[in-house]
Amino acid sequence: MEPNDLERTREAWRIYVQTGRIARELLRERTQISWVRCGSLKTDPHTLALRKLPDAELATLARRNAVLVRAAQPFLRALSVAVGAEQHAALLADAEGFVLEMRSDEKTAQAAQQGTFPSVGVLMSEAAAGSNGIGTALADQDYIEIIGPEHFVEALASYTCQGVPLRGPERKVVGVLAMTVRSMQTAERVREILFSGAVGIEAELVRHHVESVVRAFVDSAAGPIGGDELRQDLVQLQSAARLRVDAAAEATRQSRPREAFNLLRTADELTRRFHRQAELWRQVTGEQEGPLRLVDLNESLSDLIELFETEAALRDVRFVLEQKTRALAYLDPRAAGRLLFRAFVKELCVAPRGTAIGVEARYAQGGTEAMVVFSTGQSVLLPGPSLEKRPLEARSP
Amino acid sequence: MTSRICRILIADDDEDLRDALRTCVEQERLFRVSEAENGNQALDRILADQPDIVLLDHRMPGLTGVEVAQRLCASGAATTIVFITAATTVRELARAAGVRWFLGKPLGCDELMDLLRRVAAECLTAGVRTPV
Repeated sequence: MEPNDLERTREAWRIYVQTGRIARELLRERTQISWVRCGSLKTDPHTLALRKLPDAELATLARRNAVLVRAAQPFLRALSVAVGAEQHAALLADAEGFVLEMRSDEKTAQAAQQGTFPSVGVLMSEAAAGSNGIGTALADQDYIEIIGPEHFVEALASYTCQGVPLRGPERKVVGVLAMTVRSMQTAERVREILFSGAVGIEAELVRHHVESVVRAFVDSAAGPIGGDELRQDLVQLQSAARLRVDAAAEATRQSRPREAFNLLRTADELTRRFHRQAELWRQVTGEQEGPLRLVDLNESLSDLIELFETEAALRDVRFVLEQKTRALAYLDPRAAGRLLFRAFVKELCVAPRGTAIGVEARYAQGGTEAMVVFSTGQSVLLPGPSLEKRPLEARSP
Repeated sequence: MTSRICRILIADDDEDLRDALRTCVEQERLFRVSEAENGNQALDRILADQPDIVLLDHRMPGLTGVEVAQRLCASGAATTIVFITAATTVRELARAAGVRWFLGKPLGCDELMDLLRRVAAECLTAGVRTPV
């Protein structure tokens, strides 16, 4: 946004407070939409009403969001480190817009204490505080940047705020990670860290969820491999990603943007791999039955080989995927995951050290059956793709 | 805080994690980093180079972290072990082997560096090591 645009926005605000008209020609599109919402919510553009929850309700809020807060703390710290001594606040809010946690410089912390800046327990929905990095991100369910006078409420017009909605393991919005600074340049500098932080928080929520659902399954299905240790492997990728976000924050603070960018790019890639593995864990361990669909067995095998990579290396065993043909099975992917997981465990438990175990997916019985065959002789039989056209009752594995 | 260089060996089979740990540690000039990608290599390097600190993972091919710790303690090596694990059972085994410092997973740069500074201050100022 250029200085001229800022002046146009100020003009739009003056028009609004004098006439109640939203000067669409002077505002960015999402700002217009947000101002329309604020108008219909009867938000007062002249007054920032920062109402803080009473202590008892605040304690309930903290309890209810303990996992989210714990997941976000390292990334709030990273954002704060990245900005350094400049005035700022890294904020975490819940799905309604209540501030749950905040990291800031001393001056901003004092303002929060005096009630002139949001603090923990304050509601930052659009109804309460107008267009802002938390409330507008929640209303739009999307990343938002609100620059200076774009804030509907006058008292926030000296800040530049950004917010990214955070989604839980079921992809429902559970909160917002937001960053408030004084200059657009600083906002720009920390934007990528904000995105990576949001991705990191979501990964931590997924890990928490997956860990809680896999415990029982892995302990029974992993047998002698040891479920506790197998679960540790899931955290490796996440650890590597989080360390890189922290390092990127430090690089940003020290004005090394290229290094920060590269670190964040790798962190995002690691987090994507973590999500794939976590999803596999969820598929393997989920108890409820899902819909039947075509499952690419080579993809499933490749994911399982990655999942067991560390355990196999510890046993000096190597799985080799022999992709001779594309083989599809027609069943609930979770059921496929569970069957194949157990087959891999069985292989690992008996394989002598130094072995390479070939694994291949192929068809049998003219496509009515798909098979996963290990070079040791073990095979797993699954319903083949031609069953897709048969009545539902005939399709069950 | 001491201003002398502190030598750290990062022992982890996961290259991504080794890189990430190195990036964090090297942001501070107090530390000089080397790496080992499995338990046997870690033990060899510690005995040969005598780093001040080893950041030791447990799940590694060859010797596990706990086995490395047991052998180091038995050898009387002065390298301080910082064990990286979230598994309580492994932690107990490492503790029994004489390990005093632990980091959980997932870990962040701040907690890593806070602990390393404390350990470095202790082992360097106590004169346990001969710093390079």
